[in-house]
Amino acid sequence: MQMDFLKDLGIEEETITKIKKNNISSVVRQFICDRENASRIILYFRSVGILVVDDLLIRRLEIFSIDYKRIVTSFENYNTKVLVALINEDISAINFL
Amino acid sequence: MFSKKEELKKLINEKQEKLKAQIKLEEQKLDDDRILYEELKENVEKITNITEKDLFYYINQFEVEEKDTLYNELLKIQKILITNQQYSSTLRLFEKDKAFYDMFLKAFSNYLEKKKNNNPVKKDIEHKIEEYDSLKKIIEIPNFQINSHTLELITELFKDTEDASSEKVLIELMKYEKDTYQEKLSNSIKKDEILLSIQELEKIFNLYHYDFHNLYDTYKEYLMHYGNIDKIKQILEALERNQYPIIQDGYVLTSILLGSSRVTIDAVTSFSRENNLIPESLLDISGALLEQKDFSDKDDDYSYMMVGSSLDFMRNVVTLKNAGISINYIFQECKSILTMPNKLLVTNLDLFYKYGFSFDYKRRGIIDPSPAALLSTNFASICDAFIEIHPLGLKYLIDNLSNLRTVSNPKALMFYNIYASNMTTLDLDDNDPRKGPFRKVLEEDNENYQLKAIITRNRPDYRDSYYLNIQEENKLEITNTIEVHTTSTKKYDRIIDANPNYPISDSIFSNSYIESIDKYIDRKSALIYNFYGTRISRLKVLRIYNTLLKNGVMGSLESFMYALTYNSILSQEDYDKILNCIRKEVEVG
Repeated sequence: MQMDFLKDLGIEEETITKIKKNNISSVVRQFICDRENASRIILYFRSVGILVVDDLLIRRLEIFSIDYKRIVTSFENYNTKVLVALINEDISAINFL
Repeated sequence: MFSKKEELKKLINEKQEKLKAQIKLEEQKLDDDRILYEELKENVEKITNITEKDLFYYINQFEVEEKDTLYNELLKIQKILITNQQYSSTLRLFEKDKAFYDMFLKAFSNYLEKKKNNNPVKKDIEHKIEEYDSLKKIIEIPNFQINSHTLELITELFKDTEDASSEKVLIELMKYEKDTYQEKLSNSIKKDEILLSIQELEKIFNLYHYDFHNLYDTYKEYLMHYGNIDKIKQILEALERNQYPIIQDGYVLTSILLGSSRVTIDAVTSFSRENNLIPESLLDISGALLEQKDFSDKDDDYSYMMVGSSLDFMRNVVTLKNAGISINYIFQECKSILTMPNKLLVTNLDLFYKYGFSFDYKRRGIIDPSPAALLSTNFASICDAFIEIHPLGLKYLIDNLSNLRTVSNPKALMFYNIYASNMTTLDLDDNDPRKGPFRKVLEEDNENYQLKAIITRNRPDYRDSYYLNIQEENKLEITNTIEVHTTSTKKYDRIIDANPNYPISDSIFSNSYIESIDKYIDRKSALIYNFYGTRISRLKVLRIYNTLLKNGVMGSLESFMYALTYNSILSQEDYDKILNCIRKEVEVG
């Protein structure tokens, strides 16, 4: 039930399984606690054209615990189109935030 | 440190006995002072028996003006009397001297009187004895409240032991409470049995200004099945007493009510205050308020909810502080670090510095990626893989330290892609994805490297495209690389798997095999052995070879080659090249 919010956002069961497998349990628990913030970030990422949301969830789960407003401000301070293209190529580009 | 109540009580009794002995000592001292005073009153000559140091001590205790003058005058009197004693002279004290001596006696008498009626040292000790009496009552668990004073008292009990830091004492207290509590409950809880009624929960929620019906049904059921009314009451009381705001998040609230305890909340809150963390912010990392509980085998929702990190949290704060890292910075950048397993944090932090990385507090962007590296579950191997796979691998890793978090397998297809991109001899344009794995990105004044999409294959439209058609089943064949297997490989693998984070001992640096390859240390980076163009991670060799030797493996060409090529992606040609280098050095040696 607690990870069901991801399903409501269209994240597949397979990805949820990978999230659990690839992350230590305390990080998963923290992510569940921050689910409201995480949902907003997922929707925002999609709205700006990020195609690798699943990968970010699996490999950089902690990013979704950063304050949503801070994430948006960071994107707006950058050339969003370029940043999104880079992130889609290599998720490490999210470090440019 | 202490596991049973009786042991703790015994320590308190011992402490009280010591304090009582101190009181006796104080009383004895007062008696001695009184005798001295009587002697001085009786015979001025007795002043010659007092050392300068003692004289200074007494006068300093007296309530007189111009202590210096009195001290100097008394010294003069001593000198006159000593001269008479030594040389049988008959020097006399003047009236002025006598007046000073009388002043001294009067001050001494007042001092004795005051000390008799009000000895602050004795009073302090008596007070402490009383405090320890109440501490004996306090430790009647589970109504155990920790405040900084209780902690101070208990820490003092352990002053003479090695583990006397307040953090350690707190940790022990929490374990102590948990054991006692669980012992008490062990026979009373049966799974799947409804232990609490809605009415009971409603009542206790209302008492502390919560609304039970605001919770989702699942959380209500958790509380009814797994809750204990006394414990819930104690937790709500502790939250209120520690001035936590009403917890709005049902998940967080339920997990605290089921997974925390009064003493955990008291201890973690007190610890946070002492470390300049606002307790309220703990609700943003609520795992810190839950009793330490590692993840069970089950990956169901309830198990995740109960993952408790209170001990890890306190240990992590201490670990980070000792490393000079701001807790508030970590809280802002990557709060998950605060509740991660402390053992992993300690290991990763050690490796972080060993590999020469640093936190970039003033990074160009808003989010610093370096703390995320600390969450890595395979730190050393991923570092080694990037170092070895490409001349720009280390630079790329430093630019993107979070890769230590995003990549967990040193043999991932991505590394074979990078390796293959190195060996392409095609005459290609720089922008061609087949030429070189990296893309240069200019960001303000910095030149950063990013991997191309065809290499990472993160992007969904690349999922089914394979760089040079490299796939799991043919990666060795296409890249012309090998997996080395000798008769002992399996044995060595087992040792390394069982000791993933074995520390590098100082002695390994003087090992003859290690010394023999010192000349291959890369001129530009001490992290790399460079065997005529083939890069091998130096820390990997030191770590793996040391682990083997410390676990009963004999030093030999075979075991040393295992350490050198562990997890490396190498062609047979490269392997032979390294082997020849080692053979040559060993023969020379």
